[in-house]
Amino acid sequence: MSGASVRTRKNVWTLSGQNDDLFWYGKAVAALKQRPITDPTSWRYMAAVHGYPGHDADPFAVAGEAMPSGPDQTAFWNQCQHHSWFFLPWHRAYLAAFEQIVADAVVQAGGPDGWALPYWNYDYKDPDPALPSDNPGVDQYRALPPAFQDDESALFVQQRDLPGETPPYILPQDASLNCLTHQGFDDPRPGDYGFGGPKTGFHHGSDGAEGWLEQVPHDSVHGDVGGFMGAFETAALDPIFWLHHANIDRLWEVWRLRYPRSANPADPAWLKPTPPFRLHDKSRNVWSFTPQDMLDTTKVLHGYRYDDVSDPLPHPAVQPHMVAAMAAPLPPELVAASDKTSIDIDAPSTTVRVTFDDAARKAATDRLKGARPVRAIMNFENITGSGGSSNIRVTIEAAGASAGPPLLAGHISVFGLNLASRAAGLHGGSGLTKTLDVSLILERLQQGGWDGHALDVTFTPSRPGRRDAVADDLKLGRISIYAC
Amino acid sequence: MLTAPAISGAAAWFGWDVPHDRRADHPAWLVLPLSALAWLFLVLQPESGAIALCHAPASSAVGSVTDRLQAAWRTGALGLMLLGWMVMTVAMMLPRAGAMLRHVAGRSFAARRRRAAAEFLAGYLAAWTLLGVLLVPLAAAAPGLLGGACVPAAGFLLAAAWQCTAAKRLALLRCHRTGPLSPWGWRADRDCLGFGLAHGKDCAASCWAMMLACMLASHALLPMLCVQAIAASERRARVPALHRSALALAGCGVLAAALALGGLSPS
Repeated sequence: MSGASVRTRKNVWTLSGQNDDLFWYGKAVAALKQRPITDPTSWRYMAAVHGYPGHDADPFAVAGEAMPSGPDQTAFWNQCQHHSWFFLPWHRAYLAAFEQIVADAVVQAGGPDGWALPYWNYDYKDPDPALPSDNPGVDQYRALPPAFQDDESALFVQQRDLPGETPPYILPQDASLNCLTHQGFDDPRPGDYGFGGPKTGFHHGSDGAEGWLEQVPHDSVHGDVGGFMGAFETAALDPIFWLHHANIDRLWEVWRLRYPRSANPADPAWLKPTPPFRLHDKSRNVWSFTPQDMLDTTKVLHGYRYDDVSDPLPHPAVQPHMVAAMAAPLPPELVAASDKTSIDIDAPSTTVRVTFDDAARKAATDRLKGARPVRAIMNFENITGSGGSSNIRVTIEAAGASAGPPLLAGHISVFGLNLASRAAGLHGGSGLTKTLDVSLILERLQQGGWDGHALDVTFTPSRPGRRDAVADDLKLGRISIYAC
Repeated sequence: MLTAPAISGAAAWFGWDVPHDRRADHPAWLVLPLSALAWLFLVLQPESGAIALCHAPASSAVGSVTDRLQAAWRTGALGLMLLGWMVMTVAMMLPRAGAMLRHVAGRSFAARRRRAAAEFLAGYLAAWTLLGVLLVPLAAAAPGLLGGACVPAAGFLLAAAWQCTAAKRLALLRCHRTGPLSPWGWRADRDCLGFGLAHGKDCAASCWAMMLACMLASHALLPMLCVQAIAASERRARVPALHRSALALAGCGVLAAALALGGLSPS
């Protein structure tokens, strides 16, 4: 077990589940599930702090049960920060408060002091692959950890929607760590929203745009696991949620150490927003904090650190000719867009034409004076729909020419789609905005003889066989491409 | 000593989100000077004369409502009140459109960015102007209907009541709504103008009662600052404390009533 002062969060793949942090996690979760929802340290209350679907849709609702007061729910529930530069600091505090409460429950269950939340490192590389293994190969670490697959365990959730592979695993592209190649934390202008997310107020951002880390692996893993994990309102009911977010929090540390000269925002609007965020600690007292309090993990509540914050990517992690482009991006400028501004993408396959504006592209390219290649960020604006958590596969090909087969641009996740699409929700119904870096795809097309005028972008479900498939009313507002 | 972050933070609290992007074509640099000028005008407004924008017609307490409105129309008082409404809108509500103005600018090609921003602002101000056309006659008639001294208090109590409605909460949420914009041609013009109108409508639906109260209080500085702070904070908040702001507005109403009883004005 970890020490009692500053705790060490460990990789779940290094734990055996025998009298260690994972074992006691299961014990504590079982105990917390027994507490009534009126208790701020209960499993359901803590999940509702992230999001609550309403009593009618609450999978654990009991008719006639006592509920927290209206003002209490208003003040503490549904406060998860997504699509915002507050995504990382708010979730860091949320995890710390949870860790303190679980640690207290561990002690009450007869366990040791100093319990620390493990993290699910889906990009773990076996430190000594030469050792014999029942499950050789790195892919085993993208599987759901065995303790979470055991239907006798408190960590098991029936509603997960991972496909029928054995063991169920998340797709390689959904565990990608390419987010770490983006050096800026935020960007206030549309187009490229940085590593940490766009500048917003204390709410889900108005057009649902996100930083690179929040998109992949955060959203993509949420979408891949599915079930409770597929929606804001239920995600934290799944015990794997907390290990997933511990890994996201760890990746923030990895990014900070990877770019010693880049920094978290210095803007007071980020460091000390008003009013401050509020959560409950293990004593059920209200704990107020701001992102400024989240900068040093060893000083967050009890304090913690990770057993491994080494850089998983080589230096440089991008192709050599793109290094300068990643290091010093220019303000994104719109250079291409789809004519259509309301596109149904609920069909098994939908193709949309995106056309470049020659003058805009020339102006954006001229800014660089040939010093480096242009980065191209494709935006998928205002995605709306009433449900479904399946990720969507995006391919690109040159329009009207035989410049080769379609190229895979990436996968986009619709985590949070339902809430973001509600007119009475925090987005006002704006939906989600997603981004993919398509710089190398466009280079490849140009090498294949593409005339640079237009592209055809095709959407298909990432995993067609899932229960929780693409929403019937899934719509896309516009596709655009930004040069930076 | 005031530092740049302190100024930026204070401005943000006041609802002026000063951009860190110093580029001259950032649309916020169009909005903030306009708003500042309008504030300056409201602060320095003369108490009498041709540009006494803030006051309902002096004869408003005499004759039937129709007679009073006809008189106000003939003397141009209604027009001046509408002008006063628009100046107040530019001062207090234009900064509220800053986030969506950034959205419009960022989602438009550079060559048509200023045009797109102008179209959005035209739509936004058109929605507020339309609301002003509806509310100004009401404000002109109010002194005769309620008795001149009671008017400011009634305005703030109405605003306080509106803060407590579901319609207010929904309108406020919809103020965060964005939408896709056509990139080229007349469709782009239509979408920017339409988005400005839609955003202005949502903004007006959220803040109309507070703005009416300010007009009924003759654009007195203190109530306007109070309303400005409420409007800015409720846009920023995750869960806007609408009942708290309702209490603040009700307090303004009670204060105005007390001042009226003492023969004073809120200004």
